[in-house]
Amino acid sequence: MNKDRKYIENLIEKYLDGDTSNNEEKLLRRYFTNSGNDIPDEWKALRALFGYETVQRKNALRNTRTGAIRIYIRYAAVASAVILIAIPIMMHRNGTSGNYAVIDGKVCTDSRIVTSEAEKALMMVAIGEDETFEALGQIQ
Amino acid sequence: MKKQTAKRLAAVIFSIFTAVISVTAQDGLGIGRIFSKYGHMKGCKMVEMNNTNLHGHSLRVYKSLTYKHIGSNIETILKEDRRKARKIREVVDNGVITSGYYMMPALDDGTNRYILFSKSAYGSGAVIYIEGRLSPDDIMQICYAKKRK
Amino acid sequence: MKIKTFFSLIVMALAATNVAAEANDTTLIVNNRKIVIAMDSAETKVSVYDTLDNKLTKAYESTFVDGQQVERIYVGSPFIPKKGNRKFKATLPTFFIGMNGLTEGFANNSHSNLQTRNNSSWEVGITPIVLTGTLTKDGRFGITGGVQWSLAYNHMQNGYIMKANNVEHFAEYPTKKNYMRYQSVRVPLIVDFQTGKKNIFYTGLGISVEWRENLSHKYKYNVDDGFMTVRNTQRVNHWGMNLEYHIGYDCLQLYARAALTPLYKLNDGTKAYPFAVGLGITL
Repeated sequence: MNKDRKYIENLIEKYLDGDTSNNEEKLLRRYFTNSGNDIPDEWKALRALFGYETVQRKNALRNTRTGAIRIYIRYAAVASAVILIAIPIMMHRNGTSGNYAVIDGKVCTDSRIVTSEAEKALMMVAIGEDETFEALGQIQ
Repeated sequence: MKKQTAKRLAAVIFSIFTAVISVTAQDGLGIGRIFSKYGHMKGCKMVEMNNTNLHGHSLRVYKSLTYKHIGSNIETILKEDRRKARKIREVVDNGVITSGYYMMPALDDGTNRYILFSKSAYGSGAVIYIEGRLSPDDIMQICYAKKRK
Repeated sequence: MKIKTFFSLIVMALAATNVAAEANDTTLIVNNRKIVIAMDSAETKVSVYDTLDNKLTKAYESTFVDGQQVERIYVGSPFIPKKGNRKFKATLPTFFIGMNGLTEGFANNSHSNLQTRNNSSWEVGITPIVLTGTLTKDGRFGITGGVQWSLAYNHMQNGYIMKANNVEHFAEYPTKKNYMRYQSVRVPLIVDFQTGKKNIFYTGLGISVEWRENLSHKYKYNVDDGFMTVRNTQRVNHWGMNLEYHIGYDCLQLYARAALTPLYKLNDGTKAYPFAVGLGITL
């Protein structure tokens, strides 16, 4: 018992000098937590100190976990909001997904009409029966 | 820590919005403005086809607009694209450019882009935007191939 | 020969001719075609000309400037078969037949003083000569002209005969048949609108100038009698002008004609204006 007390005393002195390792601090905290009132009067002030530190550590750990969860929730909320805004914008921009034609302002998704109008536009651009550009190949 | 979080958040929001807003490559060209401005106008017909097959060629994007009476407006906007084009082929009829195509700078993934146009009387005509792994010879086949009788 | 091969030969030719770096044109003659290569610090231009009727016509041009290649094909060159304008179809009928009546004024229905039976009056004609010309580039508007010949039969009311610009009534000798007959040579000029590719719809408005000749009256009192023919006993306006209109689809048309000048004038001042409505066939 006296040996233990001596060891604790040495650790306290080391702690107050700021030389204790993490394990030694852990040991001191465990001692003060488990000892109850069975400690010298001059150490009761120290017990209060180690008890405060223990509570703060627990709170800090709880807050870290809570903070991480809060950040993830924020990310998810923002992403959801962006997606909810983006989907209508994309749908409005594209009108309908896939191929479509707009004729006099009216959207049509009938594939036959879409293909037919596409071919008509190509016909307008094409030279027709005269292969004008193929004339390049006729230069001999 | 809070600053890092805020930065990451901003990056995520920005990237999502960018993905939503910047949809197609022709939006950076004058022809994109032509489609958005005149595509739903009366007297005009716009067609959009994505990942389609036309005349035996696979196209990522096919978009066309046939119009009436707005030829001068279309021409003004197309001049901007002409300046950026890598290769230009035009048909001149009695001193007037009547049709042709512009080969625009390719996209980063090597996809080629073409703008085809044709002008008719009374301000009517057609413009076509094509994106795909096509060579100029392929464009000639799609658009200018002789009709087989 | 492919265009790429052609330009490779151009490059080789340039090397062979030691083209100077300054802006000098190099001219090559290949198979009766003139190729001009102009190079300066800013651009390189290759132009191809063909000789047509001893004139040089530019057919093709390629320019390299600021990293941009511009190629131009000039339509109308011998390389490119010229796309013809839409052919304008002639619209005067080859053969026509219809009602031909007389009225007392232009666009006037009255004919009581003339004593004519317009419902029984008719005409027939042909258009041996037709000419046509396009007015617009799209071929939708054009002019049709030609030469027509027609024969008109204007029947009179029973018992009435035209004599020396006078309509005489022979009540006690009612005529069984009596009609006036004359022929016309007409030159119409009509502005037409046409649409359609294979089967054309058309409509046109114009005028015609005509020469009327051989006006005669034929009548008989009895069925068994031969016709009495009276010729050239009245003053007739040989020259006349008409308003023409037609509308048709493919080879069939309806036509209408109204005289702007009278055929003759009666002694009492009544004027006779021919009008016609009928069917025509274009062969």
